[in-house]
Amino acid sequence: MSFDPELQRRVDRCIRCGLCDGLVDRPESLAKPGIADIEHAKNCPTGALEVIGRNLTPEEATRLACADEAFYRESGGGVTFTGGEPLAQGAFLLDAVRLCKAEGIHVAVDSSGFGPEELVRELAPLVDLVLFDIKCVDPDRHMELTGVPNEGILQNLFLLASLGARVQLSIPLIPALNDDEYNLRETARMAAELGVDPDLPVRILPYHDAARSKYGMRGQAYPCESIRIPDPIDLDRAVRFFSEAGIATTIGGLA
Amino acid sequence: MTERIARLRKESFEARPSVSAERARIVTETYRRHEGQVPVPVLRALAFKELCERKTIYLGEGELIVGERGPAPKVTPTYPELTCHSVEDLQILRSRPMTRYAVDDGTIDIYRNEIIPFWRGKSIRDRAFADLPAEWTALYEAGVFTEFMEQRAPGHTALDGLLYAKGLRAIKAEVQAALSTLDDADGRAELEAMAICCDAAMRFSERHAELAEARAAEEPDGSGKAELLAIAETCRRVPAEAPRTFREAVQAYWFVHLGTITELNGWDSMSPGHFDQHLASFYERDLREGRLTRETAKELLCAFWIKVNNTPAPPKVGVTAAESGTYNDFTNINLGGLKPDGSDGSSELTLVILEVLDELRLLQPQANLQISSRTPGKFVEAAARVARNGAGYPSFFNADEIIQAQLGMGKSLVDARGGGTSGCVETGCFGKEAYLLHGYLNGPKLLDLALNNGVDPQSGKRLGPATGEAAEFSSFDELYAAWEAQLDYTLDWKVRIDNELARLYGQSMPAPFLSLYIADCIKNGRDYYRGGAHYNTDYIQCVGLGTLSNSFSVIKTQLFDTKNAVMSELLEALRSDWDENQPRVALLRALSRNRTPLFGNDDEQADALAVRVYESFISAIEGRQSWRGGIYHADFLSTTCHVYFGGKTAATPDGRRAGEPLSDGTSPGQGCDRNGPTAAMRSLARLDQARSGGTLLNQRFTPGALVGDQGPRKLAALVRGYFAQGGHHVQFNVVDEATLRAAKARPEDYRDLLVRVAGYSDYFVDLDERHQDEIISRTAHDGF
Repeated sequence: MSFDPELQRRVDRCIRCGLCDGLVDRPESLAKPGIADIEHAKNCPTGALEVIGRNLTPEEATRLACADEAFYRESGGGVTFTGGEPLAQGAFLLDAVRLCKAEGIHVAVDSSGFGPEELVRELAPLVDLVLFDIKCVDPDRHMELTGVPNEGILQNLFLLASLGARVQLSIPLIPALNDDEYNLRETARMAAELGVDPDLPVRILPYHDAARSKYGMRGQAYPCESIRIPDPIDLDRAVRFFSEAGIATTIGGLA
Repeated sequence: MTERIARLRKESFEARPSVSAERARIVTETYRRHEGQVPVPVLRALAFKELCERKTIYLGEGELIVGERGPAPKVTPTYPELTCHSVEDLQILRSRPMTRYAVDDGTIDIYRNEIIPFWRGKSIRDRAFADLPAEWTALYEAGVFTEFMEQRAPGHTALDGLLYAKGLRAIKAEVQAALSTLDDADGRAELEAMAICCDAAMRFSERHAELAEARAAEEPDGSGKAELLAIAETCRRVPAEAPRTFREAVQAYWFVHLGTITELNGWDSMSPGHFDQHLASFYERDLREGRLTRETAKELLCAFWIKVNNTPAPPKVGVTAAESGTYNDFTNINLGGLKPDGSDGSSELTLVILEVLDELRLLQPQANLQISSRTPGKFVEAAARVARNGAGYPSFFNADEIIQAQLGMGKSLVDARGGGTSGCVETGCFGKEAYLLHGYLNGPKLLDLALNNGVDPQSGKRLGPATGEAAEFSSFDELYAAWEAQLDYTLDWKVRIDNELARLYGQSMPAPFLSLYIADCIKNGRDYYRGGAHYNTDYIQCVGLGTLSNSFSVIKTQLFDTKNAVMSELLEALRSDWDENQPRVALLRALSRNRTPLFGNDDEQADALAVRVYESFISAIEGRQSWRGGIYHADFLSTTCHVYFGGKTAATPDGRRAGEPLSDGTSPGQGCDRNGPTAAMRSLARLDQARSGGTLLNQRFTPGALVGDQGPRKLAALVRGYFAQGGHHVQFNVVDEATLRAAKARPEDYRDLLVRVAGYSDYFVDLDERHQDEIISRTAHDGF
């Protein structure tokens, strides 16, 4: 999935109205749509073609986020900037976070931690909570799995902690990729070094394949066919590494 | 649930509703003997007296609370003085597939030989229908509106705390005091009728005491005998005197409830109002003094619950299988809320009642939680936990908004706090107000008329005024004005006939027993149905706000703003019933459903139209005068009438096909709210809800969306978040597997169904088949 708008197709919704100029019949255009394709897709009246991703100004995003303010007051909830990777759009993120804080709502950022240090430094005092992904602690393995190094990521994590930000760690648990003993033990050790607030237990996020249908609708092959969904035994095992290090965990996302 | 309650519950649950001619016979005999000899109110009181003295009374094994409307549980009497069933009606009742009532041959014989010959042409319904103007009849038959008073007495009654503070002996003394100062003959007749009813109701409870004593005499010494003697002692005390204990208080209410629904069958028969508040002081005192435990109180409440469940709604007349309706007689108990002094009304008893509701899971009575800013969170969460279990109740109401609405109608602050909700969502002031519903109004059908120059596209008959050919309208506002003109014309007829019928009731069917319990009827020497109550309100219930505002949005957006189509094309598409084999029709329907701002998505443009429609309904209804001296207000519930009206309404511009249901209450059109539950609530919050007698929002969740401790907490936050924005009511459907299977087969109708997928929720229809199947299988494991 990309930073640019993408196209999604569901042929069963098509009524052959022709407003897309036949785009619905050109699945090869879905993967790399041109500007004209995006415009044609926007004409579709049935949702057979849908443009996924749109540009918003920080003001527009804030308005959307704050629409539910009355509910946040009751639930203690708020807005979470997630992604993709919110740190990839630093200027937008800082503006939108400042605007949301000015509206008085709780702001969280859900990040892989991959982003410029100055941005993290600026963001730390603004946000109420950072949800921080630790995918893999070994630098080489991290490079292999994600295509980027993890040194900066880990530095950002400790920087956030040193600046007093509230951080909640999470580990996406993906069998055969990052659930080996070394990675889990080292992640737990690092969490202990960082210090874990008992109110913010480490979230163990079992891999799921809910995105499979989205790949299909976008004319892309699902890249994770071979990956297994963790079973309760896998989860118990993962939890144990953390409890041995005295660290509280929770399974799954925010309930 | 105790063993006793489990058994009584099973008996109630399994008893098949049936019809008894006993009441019809007693009333008919009374009329034969006294009609024309005594004033009408006295005649009605004599009929009530005969019923109280002669009706078969029932005392079931192991009962704690006693008294039935019919001769046995689930047996309903009939009310031939209002609506007289024909032999054919009775035969349909016992053979139709839905909401069937057993009717034995003996009952049919009594009807054929005694009841029908006396009441045919004489019942209220026959008299009312005898000379109705053709214009009204045409509108009524086309499904533009319904008329509540053709089937049942006008209703909505919920009581305040009077019966717990005052027995019938004391009330009778007040009636006599009023009599001694009143000269007016009509008023004297009404007060004399009320006095007769006091004695009659006391005799009714006394007969139960006598029966219990007789049974006790036959019992060996032991707990069975003691229980019968306790029943006797209770029935000797209430409702003649004010109750002293929790048990007496519950029994007193039940006798008064039975009295009102024996006297007449007022719509939405009867409710105890703020039941937890009224019983709380008895509960606390009995607990303190060792007469009661939490468990025995709960058992008494369960016994009461079963009693209400034993009273199926009296069947309508002239009704076919397709319109079979419901057994529910709509007793709706208010929990929580505010006390008249403004303090929080919830208590431990509120929680006990929620447990009763959850454990018994009966059709009726249902209950709602009135939530004010003062209601502690634990009550909202407890109610949310019950709602999660999927029975659809309790419903949730905004007590602060309900108080505002009543202040807006001119009630005092203290009275408004004592008010709440009865029926479905209707606001009223308990024990002090006669607030009568007059029937549903089909808003989308009026758009059919506006689009066809006043002619019903389904029958080709002219129903409304000629408001112009739609194809010649040059602006959206011209079309809207045509709809408003159809609305006004229809309301003129509806209110005119409503007032005629109200006069008929006021003059022929006073309710002297009910009048004893509604403030000022005694003081004014004037019946509940004649304007005797302290407050008098008349409601007309507007249906189809979502369908209608979305239809307007399609016309405005597609015809006048973007000009994607012209009016003649839309009319052609509607005439074809959205025949998607025609490419232009298919395109226009797709534009209507997917490229038009729709109500329920927090879209300012769509919501502005909904507000405009809402305000049009209110200004067309508000302020019209009723026969009793009250004022009409708009209400926005639909019960199941959106299905009936849908069947009577041609295809609508929002893409709905002829015959499909209209939107319910003030909910968004089915499947039209696609931005989640909070966006739907934000849209509804744009309506100035306190200006109506009640709005209604249905939301649907899967059980998985509400699991764990977090589920009810989030549901509670959703409710309070909506109420913080002025919402009046919300209720939740927590859906089952059958619905999910239907959603899978017909996703278009289930666009708004949210399901819990993993650590997040998603729209069910947006998931691929494997995930849908997985969720369906999970839900199956949630059930039994």
